[in-house]
Amino acid sequence: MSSKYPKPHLMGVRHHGPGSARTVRNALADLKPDIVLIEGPPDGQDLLAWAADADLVPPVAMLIYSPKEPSQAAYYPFARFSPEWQAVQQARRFDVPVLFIDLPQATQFALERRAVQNHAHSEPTTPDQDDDLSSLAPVRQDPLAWVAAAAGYADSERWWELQIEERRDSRHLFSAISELMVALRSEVDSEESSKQDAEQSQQSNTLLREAAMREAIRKAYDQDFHRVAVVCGAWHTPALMDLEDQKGDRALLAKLPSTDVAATWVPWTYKRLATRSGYGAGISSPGWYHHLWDAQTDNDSRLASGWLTRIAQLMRAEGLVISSAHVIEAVRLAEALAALRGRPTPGLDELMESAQSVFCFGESLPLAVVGEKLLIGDTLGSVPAAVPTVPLQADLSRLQKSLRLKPEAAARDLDLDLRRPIGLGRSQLLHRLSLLDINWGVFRVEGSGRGTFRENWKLEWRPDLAMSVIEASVWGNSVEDAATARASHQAQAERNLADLTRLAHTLLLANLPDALSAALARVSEMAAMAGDVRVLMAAFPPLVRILRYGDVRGTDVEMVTHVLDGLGVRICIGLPFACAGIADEEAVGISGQLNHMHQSISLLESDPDGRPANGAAEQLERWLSALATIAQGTQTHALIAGRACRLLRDRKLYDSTETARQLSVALSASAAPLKAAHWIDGFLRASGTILLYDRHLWNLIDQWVTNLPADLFVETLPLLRRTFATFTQPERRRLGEMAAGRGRAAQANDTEQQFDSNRAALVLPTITNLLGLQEEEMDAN
Amino acid sequence: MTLLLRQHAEEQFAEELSALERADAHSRPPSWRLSPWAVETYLMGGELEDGFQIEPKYFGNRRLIQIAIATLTTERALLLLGVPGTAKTWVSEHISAAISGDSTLLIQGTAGTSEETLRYGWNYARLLAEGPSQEALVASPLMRAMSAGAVARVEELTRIPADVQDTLISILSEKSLPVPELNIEVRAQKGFNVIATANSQDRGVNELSSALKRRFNTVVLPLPATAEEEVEIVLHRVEALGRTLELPAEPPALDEVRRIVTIFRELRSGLTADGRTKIKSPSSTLSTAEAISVVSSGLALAAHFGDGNMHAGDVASGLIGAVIKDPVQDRIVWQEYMETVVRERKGWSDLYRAGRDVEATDS
Repeated sequence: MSSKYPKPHLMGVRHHGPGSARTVRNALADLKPDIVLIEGPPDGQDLLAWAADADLVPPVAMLIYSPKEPSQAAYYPFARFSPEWQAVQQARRFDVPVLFIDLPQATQFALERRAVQNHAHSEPTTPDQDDDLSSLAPVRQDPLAWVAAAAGYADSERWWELQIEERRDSRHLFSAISELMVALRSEVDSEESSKQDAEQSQQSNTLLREAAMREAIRKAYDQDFHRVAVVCGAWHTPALMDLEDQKGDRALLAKLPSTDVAATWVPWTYKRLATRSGYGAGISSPGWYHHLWDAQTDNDSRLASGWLTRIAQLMRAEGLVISSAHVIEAVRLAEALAALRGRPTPGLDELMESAQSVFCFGESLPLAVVGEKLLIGDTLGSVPAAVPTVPLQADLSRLQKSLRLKPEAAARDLDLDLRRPIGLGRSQLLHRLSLLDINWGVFRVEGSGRGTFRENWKLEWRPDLAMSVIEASVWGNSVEDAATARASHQAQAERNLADLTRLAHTLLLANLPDALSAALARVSEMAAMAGDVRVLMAAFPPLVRILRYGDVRGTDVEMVTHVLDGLGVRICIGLPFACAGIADEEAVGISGQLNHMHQSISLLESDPDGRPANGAAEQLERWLSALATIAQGTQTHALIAGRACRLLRDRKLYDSTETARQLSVALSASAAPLKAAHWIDGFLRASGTILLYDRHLWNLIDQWVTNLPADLFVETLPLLRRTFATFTQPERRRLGEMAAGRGRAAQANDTEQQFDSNRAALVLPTITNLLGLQEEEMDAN
Repeated sequence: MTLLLRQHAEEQFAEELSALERADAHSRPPSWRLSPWAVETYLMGGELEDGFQIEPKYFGNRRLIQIAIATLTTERALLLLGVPGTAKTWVSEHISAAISGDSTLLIQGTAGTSEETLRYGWNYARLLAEGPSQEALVASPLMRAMSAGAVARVEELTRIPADVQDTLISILSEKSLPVPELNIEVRAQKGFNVIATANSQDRGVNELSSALKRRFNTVVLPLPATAEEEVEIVLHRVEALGRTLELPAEPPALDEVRRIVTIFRELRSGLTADGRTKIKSPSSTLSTAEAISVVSSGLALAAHFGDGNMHAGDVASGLIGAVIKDPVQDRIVWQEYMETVVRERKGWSDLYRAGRDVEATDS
């Protein structure tokens, strides 16, 4: 090996591993390097100056974004126990320069953009929001975890701790890690060579990054630094050992595209550091690592008892009784478990398992209550006030400019015409901002349906809204992204189905199709769990509105159809049961919902464009058969049965004979009069016209009322009165006339029997004359 | 071959136990026949150094068994909790067989379990004839376990009336059982411990007092974690049962078993196997033990009334019987499941039809 460049001191670490952090700190103290190189974006180099600021408290993240396209952004989070953070701090202590040596993020953004353009004909992928580690093969994300698992450990930090404790010279440990990685990488690379090209582009990206890092290391040597320490992900160590092929690296790095980027510090939380938040290089339990870092681990019994005491305290705060005796037993069990599993000290698994067994009566639920606080914690970092603004604010300013909507402190009204692009744009912006709790505008008037193309807003920009923007910036870097992310999250957390469908409707107005699909997915999920049919029925009509008017705004109609379909099935199955054995007030509610459902389903079927919605016919058929079951169900509340019967009749599914049969069944003598009155109420409510035209029905009701015994008549009267009071004035008058005319009709019948044909014959000639008919014709007739 | 309908664990697996004892090099807690490591191997199965195969007794999470064994080494009592059919009794029997070589020191908890059952009783003929003496004393299994330094088992702890349960407190904390009539006390030898089981579904029956609870480490035995695991358990047990019942049918078709297990799992978890659709869960437990009984009754139907191969029709009625425990609520759940999941799923139309047929004849 020629000796132009010596081998650098490579420190392969696990991102956010407290064990790695401690080793790095000690190794740097031993080595006393004259420069520290860290795997990190050179674009953020200037930000390192802030690391000395006492107001920069981890967890914080370096945010690097493209100002032109804020959706392209990368976060580099640092916790107190991140090896990179400790390396920066240690270098500051020894007063040696620190350099970030990864491939510049500016280049990575440009490459991503190019890749997206190249793949535009196939599926356009949105650029990765997070650190680019997220899409790596699992073995690359956390190679040490795999090695630890191979050695039989569930917690790689424990494995790491043990390995360190057994060694005195930690630099040898780093060379051991490098060796391990060489073996691991040769294994993985041979496997990966057979993989798809997505994997390969990822691989070539890794090659570029490693070339850039090598080049940076060479530069350090060229600048006459001698003891060069390199802190990088363990995975990269094999590639950084050999610095010979300078020509090859230069060729690889030549003519790489670049783009403008801006960088800033943003406060971070342990929650967002956790794997669960979708952060690729995340760790599962920042809280535990925090404890590990703090406990210093020279005294392992303190580690276990400290952790279990913390659990006990958190559980007590939740009102669960945990005594010190419990903690003692849990420590003993954890130690016995560790012995059984052949570990010298209990790890997180042993501790949590013994806590569950001793504290929680074997249940996982109480631990889950404290789990989030315990394992993740609500630690929030802070950033000095002087660091630059967040991209969300930049995007908002850009939108305000392009939509000519200046933030003004004075309140004013804004009328929007949604038919004009600028009106639509403004409306969408305001809806999105209110989804982000940036309450610049207050929505005043809402028109329902597509007919309304006007919206009225009250605008007022308050200074504290700037704070809301920063708060909202955790959701994304552009208004659209942030609103989508926030709304999707809200949809996930929403527990009330009706609120959720309302949210979905707002999303339609804000034109956030992605969040809308998320909300709809949640609707279908919750619909499956909802035990109460009334809840389902309340959710149905807003969805129908989305389906009917959504396609105007380019919503994914298929999705809504699917959700509606599922909802419809569930309603139709559950409804007959829900209508049985219920109180009168409840029945009134359900019968009202029956109307809404019926209207909604009719709306589905009758499109103004003359084109029924997808699956409308099946929905209708299912609905009508459910109605028939309800109408004929012997257990159904009479009010609802009456309503169902009426709806079926209006649909012409029941002809007048069948309707009359149903009515007479309901009014038959064996039925309780009050029940019958309910049935009539359900059947007739709000429209009595049917009685005017269908004599048969009229007669049946008439007969029933007449035959009621006096006391029962008094009892049912208020209910009947209430029913008839819902009719329109003319309807009531004509019905009244009919009822009054009943007596006269009877008289007429009498007259018919005493018909005098001779007297009638007297008028015939006059009529013949009047009509101009001939006598013969009359005779012929 | 023995004519006994069922053998105790230590009889049935005597060979395995002695092989383990021979091969066991780890240290053993006092009075333990095997080391904790060997007990674990006995429960979870494995191969000894001399090539002897140990059959797995418990299919499931090794870590749970480790917690159970570690608990017993710390001289804390062990409480196994779980819904019916999750192998609580099975595990307790095998652990005590492995540790003490005796799984018969058993107290079955019932609503009628009295304090004498837990402590000691008297041979009244002798008591009257000779007055109180050691000979007239009838020791309970618990007392015998104490003096022998063995593991005693208490089944269905929560079925025992609360005042009787509390007898255990002093035994578990003082490790001694006084007999005031004779002015003696029986003191527990090292190795004594208690494994109790309780059903987590009727926990409310006689909830343990917190003083008693504190004496136990609890391990909740869950329903199987993955479908493959459950299919394996079902097949394993059905085959073993089929042998004892001498069913003539073909061994169950893997597909049919897998389908039953899928249905059970989906209804239990309220989520379809692909994780896409949520569904309601019925009030029934749908434990693996019930899946086993659905398969074996399906096999019996197929053998005696069908063509010997188990088809959808043979399992449908058993399946519906297992799912619908509450005639109103569960029926809605089942119908929803049939309409939204079974009907849509490819290759399941035979089951859909069979299910519809059964329901049509039911109602």
